[in-house]
Amino acid sequence: MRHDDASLVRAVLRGDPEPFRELVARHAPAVFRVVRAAAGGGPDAEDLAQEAFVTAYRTLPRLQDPARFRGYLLVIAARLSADHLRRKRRARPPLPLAEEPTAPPPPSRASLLDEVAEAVERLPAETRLLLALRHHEGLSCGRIAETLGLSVAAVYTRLSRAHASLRRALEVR
Amino acid sequence: MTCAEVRAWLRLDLDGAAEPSAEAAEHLASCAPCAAEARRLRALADAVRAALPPPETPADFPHRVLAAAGAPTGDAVLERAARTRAGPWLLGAALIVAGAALFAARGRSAEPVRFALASGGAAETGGVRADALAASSFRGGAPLALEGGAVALESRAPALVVTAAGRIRLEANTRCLAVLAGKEGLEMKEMRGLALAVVVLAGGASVANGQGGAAAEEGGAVVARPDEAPRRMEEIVKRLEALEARLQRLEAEGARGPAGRRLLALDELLEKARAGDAEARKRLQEVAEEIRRAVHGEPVVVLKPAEFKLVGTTTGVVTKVLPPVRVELADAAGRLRAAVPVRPAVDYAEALRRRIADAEDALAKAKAERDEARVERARAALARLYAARAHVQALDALERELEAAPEAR
Repeated sequence: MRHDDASLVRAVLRGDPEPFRELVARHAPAVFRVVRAAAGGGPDAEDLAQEAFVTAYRTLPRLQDPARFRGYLLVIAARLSADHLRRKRRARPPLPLAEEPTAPPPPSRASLLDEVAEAVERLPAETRLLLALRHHEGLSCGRIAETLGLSVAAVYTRLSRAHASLRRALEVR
Repeated sequence: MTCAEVRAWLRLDLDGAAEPSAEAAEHLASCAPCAAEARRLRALADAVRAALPPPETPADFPHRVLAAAGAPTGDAVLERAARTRAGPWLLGAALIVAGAALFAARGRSAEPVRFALASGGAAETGGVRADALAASSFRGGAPLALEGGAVALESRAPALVVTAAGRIRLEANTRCLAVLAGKEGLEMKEMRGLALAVVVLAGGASVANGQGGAAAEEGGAVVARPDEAPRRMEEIVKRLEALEARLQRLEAEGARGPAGRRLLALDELLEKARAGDAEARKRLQEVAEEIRRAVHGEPVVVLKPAEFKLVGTTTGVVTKVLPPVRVELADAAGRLRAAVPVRPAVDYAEALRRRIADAEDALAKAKAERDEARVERARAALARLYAARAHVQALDALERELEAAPEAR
């Protein structure tokens, strides 16, 4: 029988680390999705994902409600991703805030999924992170803002622009 | 709402900035163009989800995470202790408890001795003071007796604590039979983790307030009247053993067995009750009473007869049945700060030597500056440290003795 997150978390808190393996396996896809949105698919994403789990493991006693492990973990992943982006931004010229696609989408692509995937790929990493949190994790603007330490207005503006650009990309098609 | 308003709402909803709107839902149910727009936006959201697929998770990723996290292995508790900011002090506290356990178990039990670990709580507040060790054995588990001392326990091992001062704090994963012989009250606070405590109040100790009594009940504690304590002790120990076995069984079967399923059902019930379901609340009270009977049997005299409640301060399944108890005196923090961690860990002797040197320096400086208050404080600190050093030496001797007679363990 599949144990729920809460019982696995409690087992870990009781001193048995093995259930954490199951938690990692269970939530790795979501964590990778979040960190990949920020860091791409390279080794940075794996490092961030690993750091997110390690941080969650070490701070597990702080988790008030074991049933909310997933949210707790994803907040950590999102914050690490945002930090990663900030570090990268400091190391490089600032990324453009405008979410306009830099080039028109290729007209030959047929499927809506491919169109959106390409348009998403062209978005700044910060915006991809917001989209991942909004659409994969179902977080509201307010919750995303709280998680990433941004203003609600900033999150709303970026998401709104991203959606507008994606809608336009689809309309071009 | 007009079509324009509904479409604006749909976009806000896509962006995660809309409040739920019955009016919008009503409009969408009756307006085909707006419903089509809603479908388009949902398709866009679906496409975004699909556009951000999770990459393949490396097969060894969970293993790497656990390795990187330094997941505890055989010496889990000590390793965890060593990682905390209290580090060596905590380890020292752990080892003194182990020493006490070994001491107490000599000649009393052939079982391997487990030990209770003084947790960060103790280290934060000065650690374990173990003057006048007078331990009693508890099932070869983790006997520890303190007289005029304070202890915080964090262990999967059961522990017996006897303290005259009544300064006890129980944290997660504690199984503890505590005998409080002091006159000071108790305050039971935060509950988390899995713990079980039987608290016997003796020698005039009392529960500080109603909340404490209730917490004792909720935390799986049975509080006995002083005159009942000696007679009930054996019975309580047996009960604690039975509870320990029950907990182990529950832990072993997780949610798979009947008990696990029952607990899961209870979890659902609790959620409903929290949501305000009156029927669920009523049923919960009945279940709570059943659990109380199952867990405690007929309780030893309960000082503060409080209705057993499943508390919301802990979450999850098992913890709702046997939530942990944190017992702490209102003034425990200040008093514990004055307590001295005793027992060398790997670096403890060196740390103690440094602390003594620092304290001697502080005393000399205070004297040079003719600051009487600081002189007084420094003298007191130094006295405690010298006492700690004496304990260290005594425990070293004890350890050597035990090493020389391994069969005694």
